[in-house]
Amino acid sequence: MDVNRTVPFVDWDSAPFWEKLKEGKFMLMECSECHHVFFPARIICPECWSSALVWREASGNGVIYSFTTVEAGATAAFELLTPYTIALITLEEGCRVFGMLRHGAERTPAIGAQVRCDFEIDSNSGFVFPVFGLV
Amino acid sequence: MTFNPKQCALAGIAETQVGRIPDRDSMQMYAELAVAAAQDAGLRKEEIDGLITGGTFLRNVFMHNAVVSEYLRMRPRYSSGLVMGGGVSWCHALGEACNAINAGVCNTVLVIAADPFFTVCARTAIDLMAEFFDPQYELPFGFVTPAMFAFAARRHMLQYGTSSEQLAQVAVSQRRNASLNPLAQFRKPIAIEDVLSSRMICSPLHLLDCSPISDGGGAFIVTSGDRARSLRKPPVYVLGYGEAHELEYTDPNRDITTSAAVRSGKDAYAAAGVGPEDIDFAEIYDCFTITMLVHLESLGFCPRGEGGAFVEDRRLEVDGDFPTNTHGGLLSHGHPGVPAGIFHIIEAVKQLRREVEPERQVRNTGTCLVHGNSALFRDAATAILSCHHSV
Repeated sequence: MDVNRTVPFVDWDSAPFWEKLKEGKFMLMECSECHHVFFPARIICPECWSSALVWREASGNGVIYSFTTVEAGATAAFELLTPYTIALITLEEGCRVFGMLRHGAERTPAIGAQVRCDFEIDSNSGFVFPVFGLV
Repeated sequence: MTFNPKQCALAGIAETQVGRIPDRDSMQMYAELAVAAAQDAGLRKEEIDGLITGGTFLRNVFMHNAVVSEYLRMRPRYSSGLVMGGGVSWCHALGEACNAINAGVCNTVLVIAADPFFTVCARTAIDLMAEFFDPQYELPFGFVTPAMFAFAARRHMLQYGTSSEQLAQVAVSQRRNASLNPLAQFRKPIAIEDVLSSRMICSPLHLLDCSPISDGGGAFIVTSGDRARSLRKPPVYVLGYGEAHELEYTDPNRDITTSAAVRSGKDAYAAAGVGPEDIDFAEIYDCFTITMLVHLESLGFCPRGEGGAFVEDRRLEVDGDFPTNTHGGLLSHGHPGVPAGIFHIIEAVKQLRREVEPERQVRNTGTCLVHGNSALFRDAATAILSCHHSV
């Protein structure tokens, strides 16, 4: 996708997440003490404040919690892409993540619809982004 | 709650026309608003010993409150800068002012916010506001403010059967209120069809479901009830105040059709010793039409999910059953960026003092609720105001 996409500002918590996307893996974190699974990554468990954490690969399956098609008023970087659809996805593991939703003109998204995570490289920046598609 | 704001009152207000103000920069508006608010209260500069300012979208001013204070040649006991806290800011500032007064830190606080947001940023406003989004989990995915509220609107439609017509009714009623307010930016009445046929921004939200971009500013002065009674205008007492902060819209446990206002409202009602049934009219931060429906529910004016039906029959209009955003709200009175929510408080004071134009004066002005919210209903601050010491 050749667009002037905003390059993510990667921080120390998220660097492994952005690296693993290049291998086609969407990584979540799990607390070894309270087993809370969360996203995005943090240095402590936001639920119990333990620092015993492990990375865990998401299955990539989820359902749409809500969605919208941006038809006007996009930021400069996304103006040429409109209309595009973005969604809140509830992953199988329970996390709610924000992402782009690809659907052809013939398919209309709906709340509760099954989606699957795919991966797209931005050739300008080399970053790989997760994108969701209707199953 | 140990917080007892009852000793505090709003004693002065000032506001600019909202819309286009091409001949004033931000600091000039701050200065003129300070003077006008002091005059309204009948206070001399030396009698104001607290200052809260809101910054500006135009550039990052370090220690903005101190810069304003220097411009006005003030030497306050208490000074605080609110750096773009979003829609919750001005109800929060009212609470801060009451806290500082009740704690004995100072006696009289001037709160000001102003920005020529339209004149300077009309073309760049979307990108400017985007700087507040998460730079790795939101922005690179094409996130924009209306999208977040569209998520909530679509959930509300699915969960409760709310229609686009019901959302549009909020915009129509507030436009009618604005049509009677000479200080509002958009005063030409509209119909539901106008909202539905306006350009789609982020489905299901149309252009007229969203706030415009405006220039403007406002100020208010808070002091002790005792002092307020000796000043020029009738005191507007702060009977109750509550604040609450929830988790983000991405938290799996958040139902994005409800607001932190459930908690802030509960605390404010408890402090004032009233309930939603005692409120005569309300001024609620309304960045999008869906924001109004969610808050009418979360603040207890109607059961959850029934906001859409509640706003029908022109209920929110100045002569309706539950006048709300009587100045026209952000949707029609205008949205000048940083100062956006301050006009809800100013309008409440004007209505409670019964000093607005007769054709838009609310009939029953015993008790008013004002509410600010930010970040898709995550942050909330609620105040209960009245000219009477108790309800």
